[in-house]
Amino acid sequence: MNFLFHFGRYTLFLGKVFARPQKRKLFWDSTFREMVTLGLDSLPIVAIISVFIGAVATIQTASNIDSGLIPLSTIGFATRESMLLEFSPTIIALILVGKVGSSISSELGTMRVSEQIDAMEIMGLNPANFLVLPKVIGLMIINPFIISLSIFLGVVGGYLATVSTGVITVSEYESGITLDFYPFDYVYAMIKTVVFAFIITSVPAYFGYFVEGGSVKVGKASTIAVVYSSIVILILNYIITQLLLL
Amino acid sequence: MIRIENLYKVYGDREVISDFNAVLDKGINNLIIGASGSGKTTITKCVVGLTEPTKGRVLFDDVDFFSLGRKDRAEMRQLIGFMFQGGALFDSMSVEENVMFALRVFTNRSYAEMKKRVDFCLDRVGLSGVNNLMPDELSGGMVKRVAIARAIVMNPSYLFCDEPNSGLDPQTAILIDELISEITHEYQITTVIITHDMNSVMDIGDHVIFLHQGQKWWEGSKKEILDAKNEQLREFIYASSFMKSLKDLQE
Repeated sequence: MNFLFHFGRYTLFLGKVFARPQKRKLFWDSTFREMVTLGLDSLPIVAIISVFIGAVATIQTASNIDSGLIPLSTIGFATRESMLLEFSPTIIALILVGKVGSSISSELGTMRVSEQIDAMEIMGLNPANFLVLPKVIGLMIINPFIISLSIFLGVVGGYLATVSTGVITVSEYESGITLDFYPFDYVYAMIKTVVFAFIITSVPAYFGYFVEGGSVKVGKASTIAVVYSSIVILILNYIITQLLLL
Repeated sequence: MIRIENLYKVYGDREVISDFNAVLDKGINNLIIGASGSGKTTITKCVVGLTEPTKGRVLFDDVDFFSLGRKDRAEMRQLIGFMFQGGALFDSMSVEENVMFALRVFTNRSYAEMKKRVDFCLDRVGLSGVNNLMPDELSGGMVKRVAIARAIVMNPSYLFCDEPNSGLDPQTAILIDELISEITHEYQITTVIITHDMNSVMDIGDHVIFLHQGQKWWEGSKKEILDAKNEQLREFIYASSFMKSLKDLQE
């Protein structure tokens, strides 16, 4: 019943969010601001994680290949595929839920308990649309660029590991990362990226928007938002993968 | 003028507002008073549509607010200024951006025109030159003044003030009361003030409604209130030692 209540209210909330903005110029101004706040400000952490995961993936794959029948270029191939198919789109999404999602939930929750959202509503504005739509659209636009960069940096991380440890030669790694590349894999990753950007913004926004009570409830809402968003991302990851790759 | 007819608000099995009727005229200070939990804020939230009443009608100059569609309600709300108890200033915006907010969203005025109007409103509430301050840099009294400036920036026909002088020192509280009263008389606004401060009642209470347990128990003016016979009202009025001494002095 609790799930049905939240699902129903979330659906109605999305109806309010996806209304026509009061003023187009203000909407795009906010959207660009959110692209910077939610997207570009997350780049440093995404870059650091991606480089190190790419490097670790390369070393782990290398350490697990002990058969002479498997070509060493497989290491580069495995690094590229793991970054492209799963790590960058999904794991980075889970990291962004923690960073961006909790911030959205806290921001809206604080606005709710301090009556700032009520103030907007009384003015005749649709606060859900004004506050949330720029976040949703902003991250959906910027996230594919972030994830593309993450994939690239992961592969670079693998390259750096190759150079620094010498587990395989650079030419073997290069041959691996260019082996059997299907452009659809990238399309699949980008589809996940856009869908997850929607979840990362809309689910925490929902929990923040409907906070009742004081600062303790804002904190709780933020935690719940991260947990629910992560679960939804994992479930959707499975569904999208089954639909697109099988 | 605002006419409230047979207003009820029920939460679960608890009737918070019961058969509330009132006519709130323009150009005077309409005060709704009562103890904490008497339903003052709930009535205000019902009247402005932040909470849907269980039953009843609210007419803004003969327009039934709750019979309006979403778009018309949004338009009607542009005629309403609301000052929240805590100010509810947007904390990511400066004073100027706060006051300018409704102008930016709902009008197509140029920045210079909006700035002129914002400066006028800030000047009107005695806060010239604080345009670039952020809400966390303001004192309690300044927050209330900015909230008033934001509430009047669109030239509202109706002004609601929820506990406008709560948390303020007595001198600043009087200044805020007087400011609201001046604005009400000057622009002929229908002003509704929610308060439990007897100083406000005695100072600016042109029309006072006493609320007890969600019902209207008494209605009159500040001149009549001290002679009211209603027991609950008398308990409310003379709860403070100051008012008690005044009563003793009168007797």
